[in-house]
Amino acid sequence: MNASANPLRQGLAEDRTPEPTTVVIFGASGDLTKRKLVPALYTLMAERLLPPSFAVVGFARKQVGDGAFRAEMKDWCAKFARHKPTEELWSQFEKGLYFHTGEYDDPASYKALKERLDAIDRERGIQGNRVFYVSTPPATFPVAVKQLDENGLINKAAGGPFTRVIIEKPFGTDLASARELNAHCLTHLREDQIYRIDHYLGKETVQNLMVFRFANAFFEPLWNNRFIDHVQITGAEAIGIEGRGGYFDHAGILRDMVQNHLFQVMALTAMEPPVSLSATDLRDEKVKVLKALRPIPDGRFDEFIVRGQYRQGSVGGKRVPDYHEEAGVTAGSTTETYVALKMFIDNWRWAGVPFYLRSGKAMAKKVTEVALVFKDAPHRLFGEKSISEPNVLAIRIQPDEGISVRFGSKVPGNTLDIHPVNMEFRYGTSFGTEPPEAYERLQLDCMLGDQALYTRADEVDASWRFISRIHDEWARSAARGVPTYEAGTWGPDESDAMLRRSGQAWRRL
Amino acid sequence: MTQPEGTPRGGAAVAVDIARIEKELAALWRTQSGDRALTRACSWNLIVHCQDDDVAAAAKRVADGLVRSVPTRTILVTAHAYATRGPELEAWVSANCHVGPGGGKLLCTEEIHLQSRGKSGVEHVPSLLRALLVPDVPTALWWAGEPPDGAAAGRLLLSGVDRLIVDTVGSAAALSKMAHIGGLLDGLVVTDLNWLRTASLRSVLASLFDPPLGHRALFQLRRVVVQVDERGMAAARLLVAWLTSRLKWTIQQRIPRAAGVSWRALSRDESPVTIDVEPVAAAPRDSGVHALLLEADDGARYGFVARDRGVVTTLGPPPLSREVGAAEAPVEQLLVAALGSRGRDRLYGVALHRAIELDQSPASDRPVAGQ
Repeated sequence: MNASANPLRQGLAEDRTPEPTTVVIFGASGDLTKRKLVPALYTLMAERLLPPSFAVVGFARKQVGDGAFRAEMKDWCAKFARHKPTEELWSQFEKGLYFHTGEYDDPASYKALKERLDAIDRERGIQGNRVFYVSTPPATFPVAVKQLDENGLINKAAGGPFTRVIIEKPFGTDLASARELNAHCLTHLREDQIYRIDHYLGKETVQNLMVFRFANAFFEPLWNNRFIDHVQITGAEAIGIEGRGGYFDHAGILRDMVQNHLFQVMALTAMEPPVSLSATDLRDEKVKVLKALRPIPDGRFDEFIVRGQYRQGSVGGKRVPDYHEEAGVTAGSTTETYVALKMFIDNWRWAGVPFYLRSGKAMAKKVTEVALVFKDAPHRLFGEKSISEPNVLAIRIQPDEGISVRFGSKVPGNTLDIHPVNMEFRYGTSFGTEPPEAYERLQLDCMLGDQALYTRADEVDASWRFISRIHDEWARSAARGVPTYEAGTWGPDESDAMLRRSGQAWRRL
Repeated sequence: MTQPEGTPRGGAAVAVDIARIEKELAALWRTQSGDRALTRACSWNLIVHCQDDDVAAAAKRVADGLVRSVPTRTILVTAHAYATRGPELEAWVSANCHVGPGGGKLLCTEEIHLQSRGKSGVEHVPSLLRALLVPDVPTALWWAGEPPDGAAAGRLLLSGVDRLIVDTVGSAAALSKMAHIGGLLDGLVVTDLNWLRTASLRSVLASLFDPPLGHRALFQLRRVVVQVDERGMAAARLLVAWLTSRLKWTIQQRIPRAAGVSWRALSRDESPVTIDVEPVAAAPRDSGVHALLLEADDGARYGFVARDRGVVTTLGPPPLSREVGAAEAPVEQLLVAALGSRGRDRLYGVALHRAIELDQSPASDRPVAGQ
C-alpha cells in the first residue's frame, strides 16, 4: 500500500510525499545534525512534505534523554530551519523525536536500537521503513553498516519495508579505501540501498546547471570545443579551517572539496544530455566524464597541479592566523589549503579544452562558480578596437546564484570603441522565493527512493582514481614543501603562472 | 489631476500623456537608477482589472508586494463604465523598487495605471493594453473583486491574455460564471484563487488516507459535513465537488434546507451517502471553511477543524488526531502560485464541473429544516 494509490492524492501539488518512515541519525550529537539534518526535517514537516507517521531517532554515545534532545533540537531549529518552530507544529514534530544512546561498535546497542525502532513503529504506525543516516567520523562508517546488518536492521527483501543508508562524505580517503568501503557496504546492502551524499548536488543552483544547459536551446550548441577556449570552476571559501584542524589537516582541500563537490560540478558541466533524469541515466552520463579525465602524465605533475597553504592575512577585515597556528594542525604540516588543477576531458566534445579547477580556504571571498571562457571571434573585423576580453558565460552557484554573460558592445559616441559589458541574471532579483536547503531535498529524495542526486560507486571510484595519483605524487615529493599564499588573496602565484603558460588567466571574482 | 491611491514605493506615480507611456517609463528608469545598480526584470504582464477605486487601491497593494516574488509589468485598469464626467482615459506610470535579497541591488518593476470613464473610454482599453504589453512574456489578467460575467470579460480577453485569475470566495453563483468564462477562449487558463486557497485543506484531508491508515477507509464513508461561514459557500461546493469526483460518487438529489444545503449521493459501490453543508457564524480562514468531517459506516470519523489560518486539528485514529500546519496563503501568495502553475489545472476543471452539477441536481420536494 502506498500513498500514490490514495485517490485524494492524485493531482495535488504535493505529490512527493514519502511513505511513513523513521530516520535514524548516527552522530546525532554532531554539528551536522544540529545545523542541517534536523532543521531540514522540521522544514519538510512544516511544508507538509512528510507523512503524519514519521519519526527521527538520534543515535550517539552521549547520554541524553528524549526530553533533552527535543529541547536542544528545538533551539537549533529556531536558529537554522527555514521555517521557525511554532508551538503547534513543534509539539507534533517532537512527539516523533527520540534519542538512543549507544556505541557504534557494540552489538547490544544495535539490538536495543532495533527494539526501540520496533516500538516506535507500533506507536506511530510506521510499518518498518527506515533511513539510517551515517553522519559519524568516517572510520565508523564500516562498523555502523556491519552492525546494522548483523543485528537485523537491514531489510534486503524486495517488496517489504525499505531500508536505506545515507553515507556522509568522505567516501574513502583514497582509491584503495573507497573501494574497500564500497565492497564492505555491498556485502551488507544492495547498491539501491546505498545513498552516498554530496550535499552540493542538493543545491538548487547545481541542479539548475542542467536546466540552463538542457531546457534552453541556445546554450548547448556553443557548449563544446569549437567555441569554448577553456572552463574555470572555482570553489573558494573565505573562512579558514576554523576549529576543524584535526579533520582538515588529515584531509586537505583536494579531498575535502575537489574529489567530491567540484568533480560533481565539473561532471554536470561537461556531461552529455542524459536520456532522462532518472538516477541511472543521469549518473551514467556523469561517470563517463569522470572516466574520460586524462591522467596527469608521470613526471609532469607541476604543469597540471598547484597546491598552497595560507599564511597569516586578513579576510573581510578579520585577521586570519597562519595555517600552522590553527588548532589541530600538526607542526610542519604540508596539507594543502589551496589547490588548482589543469585537466582535460578526452572525449569528442571537450578534446583540447582545459578545465581549470581551483579551491581554497581563507580566500578573498566565498564564491562557487563555473565559467565558460569563449574563443575569440574568428575574424577581428574591428581590428585593434575589437574586444580584448573574451566572451564569458558564468554560472554562479553561491552566493548571488545566477548567470552572467560578458560580451562586447559599442560605447555610445561617434567613434567605434568597443567595451566589454556584463549582462546578469540573478535568482534573487527574479524569484523572491527562498530555495530549499540541500539537505531538505536530499533527505526527501532518499525517503522517496530517488538516487539521482546521490553519487554512485563507479563515480566515486573514477574520481578517486584521478585524485589518488596526485596524493601519491605529493607523498613522494613531500620534502619540497608547499607554496604559501597570504590569507585573503586568490592563492599562490604559481597558480596564476600555470594558466599564464597557456595564455590564460583566472577570472577576477 | 488626482493621483490614484497607494503611491508606490520607490517613486511617485507620474501622470502621463497616453501616447507617451513607454517614453515616460524609460525616463523613469533613468531617474530611479541614480548611481545604484538597478535590475529591471519582467516575467509576466499582469493586467489588474478593478471595478472601482477601492478595489483598485487594495489590488495595488497586493500587486506591489507580488513583484517581490514575480517580476511583472503591472497594468492596473480601473474602468468606470458609468461615469459621465472627466476625461475618457488617464494614465500614470511608476516604478516599484525594492532592495533585492541580500541587499545592494535595487529590483524594479514598472506599473501603469489606466483609468477609463464612460462606455467610450472603456472601449479604448483593449487596444491600449495590446500596445503596452512587454513582448515575449505571457500575460495574466487578474480580475480583482467580483468575478466577471462573460461579456465584460470577453473584451479584455481579446487583448492576448494567456491566464485569467479570479476569486470566487463569498459567492457560490460565481462558480457558474467561471464555467462560462473558461469556455470563452481556446487555450485560456483560468485560475480561481479560492481553489488555491483550499489547497492546504485538500492536502491535509488527503494525507489522512495515506499509509498507515490507507485509502480503503474512503470507500466506507457514509456522511460528509462541511461547515462554512457566509464567505465559504463556494469553497464548500469546491471541496464537496473535489471529494465526490475523486471518489466517483454519483449525486442523486439536492435537498434544500432553511440554512445550508444537502445532497444525497451514491458511493462507487452504490451505498447511500449524505452530504451536508452547514453554516457557522464565523470561520477562522479567508475561504470561510471551518471544518470538514467524514463519517464511515463503522462509526469512524475523519477530517479537520480549522483552528486559525495556519493550523487545523485533524480527526482520525492515532497518530492522525493532531495539530497540523495547513497555512492559508494570503492573496499575494495565491497570485504567485497562480502565475507559477503550469497550464490548466485539470483537477479544478473536474471539480468546477461537478460543483455546477451539484447546484443543478434535482431538488427534493421535501425540504429539511435547518439545524
